[in-house]
Amino acid sequence: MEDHFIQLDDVHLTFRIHAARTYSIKETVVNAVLRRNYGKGPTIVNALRGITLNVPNGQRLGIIGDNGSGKSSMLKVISKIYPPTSGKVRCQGFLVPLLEVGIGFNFELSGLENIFLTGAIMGIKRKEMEKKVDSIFEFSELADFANTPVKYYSSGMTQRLAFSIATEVDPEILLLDEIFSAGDIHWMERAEARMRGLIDRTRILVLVSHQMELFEKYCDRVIWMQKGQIIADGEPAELVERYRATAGAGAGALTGDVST
Amino acid sequence: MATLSTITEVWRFREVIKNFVAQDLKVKYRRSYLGFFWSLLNPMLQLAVISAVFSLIFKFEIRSYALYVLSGLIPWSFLATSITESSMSVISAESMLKRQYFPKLIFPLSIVMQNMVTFVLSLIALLCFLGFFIGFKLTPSLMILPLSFLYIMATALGLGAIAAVLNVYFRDVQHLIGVFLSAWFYITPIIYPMEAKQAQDNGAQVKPGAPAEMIDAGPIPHEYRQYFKINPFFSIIEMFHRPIYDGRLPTRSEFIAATIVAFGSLGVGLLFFGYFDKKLIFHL
Repeated sequence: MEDHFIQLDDVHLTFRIHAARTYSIKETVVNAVLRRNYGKGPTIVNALRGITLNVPNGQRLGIIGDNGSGKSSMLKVISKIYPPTSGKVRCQGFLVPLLEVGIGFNFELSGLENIFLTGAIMGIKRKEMEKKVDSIFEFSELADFANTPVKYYSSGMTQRLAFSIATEVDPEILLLDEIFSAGDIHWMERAEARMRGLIDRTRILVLVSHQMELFEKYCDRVIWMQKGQIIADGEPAELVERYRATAGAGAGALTGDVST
Repeated sequence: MATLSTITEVWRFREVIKNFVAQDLKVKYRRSYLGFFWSLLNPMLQLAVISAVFSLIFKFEIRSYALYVLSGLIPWSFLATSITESSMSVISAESMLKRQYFPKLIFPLSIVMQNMVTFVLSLIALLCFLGFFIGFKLTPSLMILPLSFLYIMATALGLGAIAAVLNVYFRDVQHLIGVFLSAWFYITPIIYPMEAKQAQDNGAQVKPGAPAEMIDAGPIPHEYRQYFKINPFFSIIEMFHRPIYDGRLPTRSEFIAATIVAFGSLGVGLLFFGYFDKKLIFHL
């Protein structure tokens, strides 16, 4: 049995946001010639400040916190999208970050071709993906449109296809930023069941959400983040309770670090 | 070392690259009935116009001039298109890069590979279709072409990778690249030959026994030729001119220059890209 884990060791993530974003040579040259100096230097945003976290095999971790507390940055550091400014990030296991569905769709290509493309992007071989095609079309109810270019799909159909592909995979580490499922009520019910199936299959779950009831439903551990730090770590029920209490008071909650 | 890890990462993502290349080719050739053959029309028309106009102005013998232009123009188009498209590659992948990790080098690499497929196929197809009419001959020197392809691809990838990084930091680089490349097109012997080789071949303009300077007369005066040869693209294009048009191997110095240019571009490009690789995401 393989051991899957996520390890963060004193991870810092710092963004430098330049006040005058000179994104062109023209502006840079003009500014240099005219000796213009916009900006009092870059604004530094500490999205994560010294995060140390161990997520062992089998754990279902929830992250709560206000907007801009570093929840999404945390997921992006775990998934390697952002390299940490300092500290170490180690993950073992097939990682699927579902930060938003439908990435990498090529709208000129058919639904079927996009299934393979998305599979490849997620790191799944074509052979394995072939076994999943039927199930994806069955769930999305788009079998009749398999060979239609995605640009002719309605937005609902595109979403359905994206969601069906994303939830057909077998991750070992699953990162979820909000549980997404838009659509009619009939679809929502099926989507939720399918999402639950995905969450049950994965070895490790890291869930970021603003829907508190999800933590009690899916997680067995919750961390609470504020201004890029973990300020509490414990049982979902207890932490959600405490978090809700502060929300009522609204104590300085919105003065956290700039949202990333 | 950043570069080394970049390369191993790229290898791990080979499946993604394969998909990117395949999907782009598919989209490109899907919508027309003629598919790939449609894409030959553009270079053929370009070739016809250039050959007709310049053979008149320079009084070149049109058939052999057409072969000369073909053997330089098609590789040049590959180089120019690859660099231009690569410069946009990382920026246009922004939404993907913000939702999942990719080694960023796969974006310029896919562009270059995809153009490479079109380039190799169209060069072969054009030589097959037109070769007979414009005096193309099969010679053993053509055996060097795989190496020529490799060199030009290395050059395109190296320069494309640099362009891709620059464009993330300065979004107007792509416009400059366009201007730059069209200027470079004219200082590289593509629509004009360096030496009046065709005159000798056809014996049309130069009579046997003419003075040496007459035989060696080309549009470029002797004393300026060395400056044209400094142009790094010159040796790369000569890797195609020589076997396809002259029917012989590149000279030793041209070959050495081409080797340096190809490996130099690739090496500098990868080092440059590797250095900025991890910083790019914060500038998108």
